Amino acid sequence: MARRRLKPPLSLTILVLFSALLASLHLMSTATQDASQLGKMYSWLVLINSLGSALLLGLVGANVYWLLKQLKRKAAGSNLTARMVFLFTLLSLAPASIVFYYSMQFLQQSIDSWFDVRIDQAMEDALQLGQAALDERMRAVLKQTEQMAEGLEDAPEAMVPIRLGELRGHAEEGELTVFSKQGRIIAFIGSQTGRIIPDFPETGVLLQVKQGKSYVGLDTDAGGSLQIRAVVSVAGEDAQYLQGIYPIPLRLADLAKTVESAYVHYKELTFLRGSLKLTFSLTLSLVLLLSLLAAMWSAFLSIRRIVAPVRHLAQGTRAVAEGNYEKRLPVKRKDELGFLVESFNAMTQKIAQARDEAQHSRQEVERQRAYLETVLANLSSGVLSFDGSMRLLTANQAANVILHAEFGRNVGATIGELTEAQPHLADLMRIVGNRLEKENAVWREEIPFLGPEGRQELLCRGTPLFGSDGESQGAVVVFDDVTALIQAQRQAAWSEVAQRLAHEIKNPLTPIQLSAERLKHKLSKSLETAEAEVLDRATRTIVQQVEAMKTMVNAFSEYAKPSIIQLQRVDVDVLIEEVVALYPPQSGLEFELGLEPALPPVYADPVRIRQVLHNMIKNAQEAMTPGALGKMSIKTRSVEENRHHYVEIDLHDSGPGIPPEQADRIFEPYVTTKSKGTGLGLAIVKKIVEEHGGSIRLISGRGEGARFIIRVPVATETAAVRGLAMEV
Amino acid sequence: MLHRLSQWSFIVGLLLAFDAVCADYGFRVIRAELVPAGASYVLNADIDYRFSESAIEALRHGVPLTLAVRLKIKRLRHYWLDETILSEIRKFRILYHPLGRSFQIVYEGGNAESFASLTALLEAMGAVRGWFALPADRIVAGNRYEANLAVDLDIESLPLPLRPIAYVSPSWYLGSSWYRWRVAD
Repeated sequence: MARRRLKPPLSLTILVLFSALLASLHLMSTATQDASQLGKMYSWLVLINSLGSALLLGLVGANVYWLLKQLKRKAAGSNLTARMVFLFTLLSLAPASIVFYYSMQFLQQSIDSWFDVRIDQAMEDALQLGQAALDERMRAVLKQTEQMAEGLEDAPEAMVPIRLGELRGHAEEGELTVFSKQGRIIAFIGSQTGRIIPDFPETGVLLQVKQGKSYVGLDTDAGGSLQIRAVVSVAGEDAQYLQGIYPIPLRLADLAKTVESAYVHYKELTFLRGSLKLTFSLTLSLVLLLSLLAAMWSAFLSIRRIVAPVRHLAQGTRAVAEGNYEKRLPVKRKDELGFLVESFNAMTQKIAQARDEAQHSRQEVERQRAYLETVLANLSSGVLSFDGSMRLLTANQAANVILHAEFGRNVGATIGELTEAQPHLADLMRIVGNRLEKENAVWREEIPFLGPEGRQELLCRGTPLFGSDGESQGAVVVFDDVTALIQAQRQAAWSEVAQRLAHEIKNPLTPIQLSAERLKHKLSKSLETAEAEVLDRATRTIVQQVEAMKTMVNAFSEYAKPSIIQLQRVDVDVLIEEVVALYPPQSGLEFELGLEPALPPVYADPVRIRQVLHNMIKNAQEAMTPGALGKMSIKTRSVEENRHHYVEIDLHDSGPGIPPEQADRIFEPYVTTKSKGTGLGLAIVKKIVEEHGGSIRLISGRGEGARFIIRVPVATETAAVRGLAMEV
Repeated sequence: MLHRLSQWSFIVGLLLAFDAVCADYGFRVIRAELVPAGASYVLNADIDYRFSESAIEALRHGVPLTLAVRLKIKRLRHYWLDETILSEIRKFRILYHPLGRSFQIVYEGGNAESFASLTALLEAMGAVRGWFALPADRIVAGNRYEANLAVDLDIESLPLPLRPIAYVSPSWYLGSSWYRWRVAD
């Protein structure tokens, strides 16, 4: 952060850089235009501007590389950047190029227009004119000098200065020097300018003169004024030379100099024409290049700034699409894009909130559902729910147990399909289906149901479900197995009857019996033989019947009173064999035993179980057609059902069987198909079996004899102990 | 490593020399000496000036050429960097007068010499005689001195339009290498 604060803002840097470049460009163009002080800096300016161009080129190149990389990666916003940069460049390049092209054209033409063949010619002519004028003058000077040299011929060395002075005579200007071959000055007449030392000619001139040729030429002296120099040799014994230097008249010199300087300037310009064009073109190109590159770079910078929020938005949207709602974008601007980014942030926050809430409520619903399911699963009542089109929605565990079905596999099935899948539910489902279709209110019905373990009484309650708009949304059927309850009610009723009988009937029986015996005792002696015989028969009948009644009442009260059972380890096979041994073939029954050898022991009261067996055998005996030999098969086997072990005793006789209309009530007292017996045999059997935690059921078909199946649980030690404790 | 470097520099030097010979232009200091003259030392030197075609053409078209003669005298020291006791640049211009068809040397002080031909000018320019270098007391007996002399064409003094071209064209890069010699005390 601190580093950021120390750094000058980017825009300022750009501004400074551009200003520097612009200033440099301006200086360069100024330098190109006139030969001012700036002319000296020209090369540096060109260098600086070239370096600036190179720097900008590098920056633009780096940016282009970055953009290409982004494009290759298909980064967000890279396409937009590329398009905008292209547009920017095109927009700046097109007008700049047009201006550049026409400027170049103009430059070339205008520089060319400075030069004209006629001016060229005029310049040449002016120069030649000047030269001709000077030549004439030079020839005159040469002639004059030669004449002087002739005058000096053969003059002795001492006489030369005097002769020279004479010769010069009235000539007012110029200097005359006579010098020897070795360069020794023999005579010197200076001009008015007052020069003391004569101006010697250069070596080349001397060489020329030494060869006998006179020299005349135009010189420029140190002061820049023109003068004519003539060197001639003086004939004589020693080689002597005469040099005459004459200034050109001021007017002529001025004119000549003007002509020469104009000519030189013009020549130079002509010579530099190509270079000038090149220099101007270079400056112009540099200006174009710099401004173009600067435009491109600033385009890159500004576009990147513009596109940055768009890029962030794209990234953010991608993140949201991937489910990351925690993504927040940096808000750096206060314009529309900044507003967009802010809105995006607000949106993702809202989405995240909504998602959290939805998740929370879903969890809550799930929790509620799980709770309800637990409650339903642990209900003792069976619950089936159906949807609007009467398809099974749910069924709890209790429903499976009560109806001996596996509804889990039939979720979504209609009632018809349920019937097909579980045939034993056909009657129940028909009744329930009818009620569900017809009833619009809560209904209750007791429905008998014939399950695999015999008849069950079900108390069904149906509740149709309606939505808030009153439309049917299905129904819930709750049912309880009330078989045991009903039987217990009946049992309780019978116990009450038995106690009443014992109390109300048994008590008068003894006085009746005693009275009858007293009658017989008192009257038999006083009566006639015949009459005494009648009395004796009548009293005997009374006593017998009273006795029979007593037996009946006793048996009944025994059935009704709560029994005490003493559990112990019992081998059912041994018990059966013992009991069967008591019934010889004369008893009218032939036994067929099918006992499983390794039958697990049961915890039971052997006395009571024996009574069960006796009752069953007696029941079979009594059912047989008198005089005929009946058959009875007794089989045992070990059974496992619903993780419970049972010992099953299968008793099947060859009697007439039990008519179906009595089949469901055969275990109730005084329900019998026989003329003999108390009618309590099977009731007592059922009572004993149930007291042992077992069950008895009838599998009957008419004409096939009665078949009873008794199941006694193979109880564990703990169960037996618990059972005992319960009884005590 | 050093050996290889010297080999390379030798080859490069040869190539450059070959190039200069082929191109047939360039300046060369043939001989130079510092001689005592009264209370001062003066420079005598022979310099071979060979201008390129383009330079001569420019001169003939009225472009003045500026030449710079660089003289450096250093006191050699074992223990430390050498001490420069004189570093001087003398410039003079040569130009062409079309009117008199003569060439002229203009020295810094304004003194000028005219020559009828370019050859004469080059000869005169090449023979440096009695240029004041430094007072005699600057050269102390017992010390060792080295003098360096070089001459080149001053591109910065050329007319502005010519400069960019001169900087990139070899025919305008006219200059001698440094001529070094020991100053006799």
